[in-house]
Amino acid sequence: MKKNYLILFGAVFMFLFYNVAFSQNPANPFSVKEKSLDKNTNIKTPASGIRDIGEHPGKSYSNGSYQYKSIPFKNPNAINRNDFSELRYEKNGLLMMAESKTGLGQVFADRSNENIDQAAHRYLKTIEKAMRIENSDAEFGNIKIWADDIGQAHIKMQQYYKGVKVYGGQVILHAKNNEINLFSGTYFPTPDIEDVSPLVSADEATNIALDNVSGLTSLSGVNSFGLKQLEYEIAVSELVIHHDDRDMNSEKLAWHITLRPNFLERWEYFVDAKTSKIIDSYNSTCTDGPATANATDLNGVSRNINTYLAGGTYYMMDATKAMFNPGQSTIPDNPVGAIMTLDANNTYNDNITYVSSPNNQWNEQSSVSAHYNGSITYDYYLNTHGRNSINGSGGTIISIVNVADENGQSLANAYWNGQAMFYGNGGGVFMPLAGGLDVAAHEMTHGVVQNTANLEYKNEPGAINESMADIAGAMVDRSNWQIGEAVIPANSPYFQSGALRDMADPHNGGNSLDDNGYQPSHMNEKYTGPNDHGGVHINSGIINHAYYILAQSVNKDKAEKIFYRALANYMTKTSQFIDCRLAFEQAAKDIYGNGSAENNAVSDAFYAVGIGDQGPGGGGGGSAPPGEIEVNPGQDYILSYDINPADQNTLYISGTTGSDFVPISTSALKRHPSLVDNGSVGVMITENDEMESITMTSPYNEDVISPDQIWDNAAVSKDGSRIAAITTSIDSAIWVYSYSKQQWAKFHLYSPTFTEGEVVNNVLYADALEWDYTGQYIVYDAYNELQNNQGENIDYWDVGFIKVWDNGSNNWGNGDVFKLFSGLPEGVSIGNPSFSKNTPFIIAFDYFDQNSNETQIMGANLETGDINTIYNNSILGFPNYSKLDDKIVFSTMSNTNTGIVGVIGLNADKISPSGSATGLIDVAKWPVWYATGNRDLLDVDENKIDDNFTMVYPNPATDILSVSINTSKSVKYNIRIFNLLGQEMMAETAIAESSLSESSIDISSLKTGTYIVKITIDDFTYNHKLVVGN
Amino acid sequence: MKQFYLTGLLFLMFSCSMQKEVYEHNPHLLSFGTSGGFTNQTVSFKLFSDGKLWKIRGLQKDSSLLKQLKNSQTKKLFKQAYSLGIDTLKYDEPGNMSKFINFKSNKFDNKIIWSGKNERLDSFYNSLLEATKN
Repeated sequence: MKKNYLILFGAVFMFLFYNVAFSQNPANPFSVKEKSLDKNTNIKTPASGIRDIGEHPGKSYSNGSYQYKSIPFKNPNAINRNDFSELRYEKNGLLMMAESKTGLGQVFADRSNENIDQAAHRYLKTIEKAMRIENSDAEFGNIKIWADDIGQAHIKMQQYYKGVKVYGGQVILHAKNNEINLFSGTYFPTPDIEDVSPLVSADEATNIALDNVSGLTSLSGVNSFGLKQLEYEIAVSELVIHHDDRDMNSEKLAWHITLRPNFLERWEYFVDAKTSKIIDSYNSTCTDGPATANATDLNGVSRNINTYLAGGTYYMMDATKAMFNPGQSTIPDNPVGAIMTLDANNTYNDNITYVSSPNNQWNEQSSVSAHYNGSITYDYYLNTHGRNSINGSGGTIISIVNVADENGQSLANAYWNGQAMFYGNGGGVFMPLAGGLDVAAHEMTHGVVQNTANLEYKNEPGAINESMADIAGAMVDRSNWQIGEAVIPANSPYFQSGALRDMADPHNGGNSLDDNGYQPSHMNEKYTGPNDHGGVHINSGIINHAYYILAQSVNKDKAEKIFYRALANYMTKTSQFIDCRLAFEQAAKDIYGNGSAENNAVSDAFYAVGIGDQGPGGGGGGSAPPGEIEVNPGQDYILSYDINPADQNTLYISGTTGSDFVPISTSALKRHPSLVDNGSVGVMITENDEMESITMTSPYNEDVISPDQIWDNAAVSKDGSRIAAITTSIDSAIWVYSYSKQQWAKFHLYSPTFTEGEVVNNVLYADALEWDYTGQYIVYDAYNELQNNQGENIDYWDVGFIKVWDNGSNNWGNGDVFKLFSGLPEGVSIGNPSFSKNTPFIIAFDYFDQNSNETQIMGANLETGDINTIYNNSILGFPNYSKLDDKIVFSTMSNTNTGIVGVIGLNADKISPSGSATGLIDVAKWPVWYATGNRDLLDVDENKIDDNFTMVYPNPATDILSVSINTSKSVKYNIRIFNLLGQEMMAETAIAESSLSESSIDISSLKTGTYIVKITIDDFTYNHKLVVGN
Repeated sequence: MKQFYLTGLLFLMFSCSMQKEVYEHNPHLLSFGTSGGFTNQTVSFKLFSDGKLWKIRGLQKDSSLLKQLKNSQTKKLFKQAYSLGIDTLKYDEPGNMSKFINFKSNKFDNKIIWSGKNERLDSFYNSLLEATKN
């Protein structure tokens, strides 16, 4: 109907509209969101409550455990992602690692230092925008070039700014086969200091430092003999650019003074070269340091190991890795970024000591093996996958050898306990387990899994966890496909094949699970019983074997890239086998291309072990990752706002293909309506600043629900129980109205900082608002004003989350604010955020970069940290996801500069485009894609058992429900029972004493069905699913 | 509210009485130990109502009678298990190396698994482990 109307009359109004469109297309599209009021205008507040908006049977979702958090802004425009297999960023958004796809790095003809240096600079040039470096050629200089044992070349480069060294700015580029393809390091964006001429001289700064250090230690000096013999200077100064604790906004021109106030000590001082203020100082005395030793390991092999001399004692501590941080380390008690080996002295855990030596001689072979293997595995992850240690950020690696079992007897095991690797001496079944390189890689990889996908340790996720550890074991100790073969004694009666497991032949010489070392090799042999936490060490054989088949097909080098990318980027806590296949397929597509031989090889390998169907994409039916919301089962529609001035109708409902238009309102609106999740009712602000509700079915009644004519925008929660709104004032507040409390609450927006408890009040006002699916958080955009380092006023829009409600206490939230991005580059604005319809941690938003004049719709995944451009737009798009999250609709301009609603398909990641955008609805804007079904509650959270235990039983229950609280203190607790519509059916309060306390509730009034029991103790709510039977 | 407390008190009294009855007239079994790790070795101990304490090693597939506990010590451990709710507690949080306690009678069969620190469970587990030592 509407489209026909447009076809008939569109041409008549085109000229008029053309001009309107142009006038709304300024250089900065966000300017349309700015208010023209004076800042001093009185702030408006609501005078009273809001009228009920009637029936709104939407639900709030119990998936309330999702904790919104900031992610670094990884500008997808800054780098051509297709050229890289891996990009990693620091928390502050700075690129910390980039790995090019094979053949797309920078090649050098021969290994002359000049060639390597030139290739390194060419490589930096390709990533300098992502590094926020203005001119990498001028800002990085070669420090050192070297080749390692396996023939790879490395070049370390120092960062400079206007010729002044940037303290802490060092990067390393790595080359394989005469091609630089890997970048790692820490640096700072190009500083913004206009004048790098010091106002304080080096001598003045040195005197300031000496004066200060004299109050901290003895200034005995070093006699002239000592100076000459040791080539000591009492003070050495260097002009640098200094940053506080890697805060990229704290740059200062400073003198770095190294003092030797006496024979023993060394101190570092940073004195502001403009103000003479001491910025930082610390004692860096390091009379001791790294050492090397030759020692024999458990296999009788002489190993070159790294040790550390401190206070006259050598420790089995490797402080030579790039991750070692001497400034933060206390040796030996608290090394940061070291590889440390300790000795349990044949106890379970009650006598752990340092492995030490007075003379750097090492006779304890278990510790030599563990130490050496730990180092090899660290190097594997760094060099092959760009992963810096177990936690990915240079965390210390600890191995403990000579661990006994709980009875003090020899332990036939090795394990990862969440913090360290423990090695037993075999228990008569194995040789000391520290002797196996694959054992070390296996255990360390459990730590890597913990810090990446964090696969839970039971059932299929647990089997994948075990398999990831075995895969790494086989890749580090890559001479064969056996696992643990180095720790099985010859002619072992326990393992006939001589190996604990075999990825090439998971049966491992056995016939059934009764035989030690036997694993299934195919899904048709999968173990389904309860033992071994659902078969985590058993069914891992299936994934192991799939990986073996893959590696046989594509080679180990390619297979291991796929393995790590799948683990680090695509699997989650409860990933099933089918999700593992999808993760491997996606990783192969990322690295080698969709439909590549490697992509097909992954599909074939998993198909060969019975996981999924034949061919790429044969995964089908993979289980939804945690946090996914089931798809709204109702019919879906698009609500759009007509902008044809000749049409008195404003809001239209249409089908999702842009047909069957039904006009539902003639009200002029300030923003698009906000709808409850089942699409039954919307809330909107009219041009005369009134808040109205509109029913989304005929007769489309509109009612003023707030008598205050003060509103600029509003959003209704998915269940309709709360409304968030902003006023027309220049006010940093978001107002929230609760129907259950019949009360307004005012929440102030602010900018959190890296310093706990410190905030910056630079928010002028919010504009776009949307509730999350739990009804606890609002995602919003806000206009901010602050001064940059040059004292210039800059303004920008950014996106944040604010907690306005707490489902646990059923009360107002604490108002905590999290920014979507931890650091937006200057000149960038983002806004109009909108959640994916089915994944609470995926968001689409508008983006504008005034440096490049780019306006885009982007998508961000808060779990993976990935950000992608979805569409290059010319105006603000107000993007909105489709019911299935397979499309996004948005406002845009047609080729004839008419405002239209466009649509673009999305890939499975929901943040990257699939195909091109097309026009969907002419002469319209602000599309809202909605569906009219009611979604069921998600599964409740797993019981949270902390120091308190809560239990409800029996379950199923009939008349009496017992509630048990086990707590270490006397606590008051609330018990509330909800039906699946979220309606509270019963509520009780009780007191538990400091022991097991039980209460019972008469539930005979509850009808047969499923309920949620919420037990709230202090700030924690424990959820239990309860079935009430007849 | 008062009624709620009263009901709770009555339930407690009733359940204590039931527990004693159940324990004295029915065989009980407490299995506990560790499992997992690189080798998936399971070392378990089994304490029966009659005080017999066995040790079982998974990979070696052997078992041995460790000792005979005194009746009072056995009763104390089973009562502790009841007081902690091991008969009904739902706790399934395995890790790479996990501890477990399996409490069985002819009325119930409940297994709890954990890997991180848990003061209450670790304390009881250590009591059980202490009983295995000389």
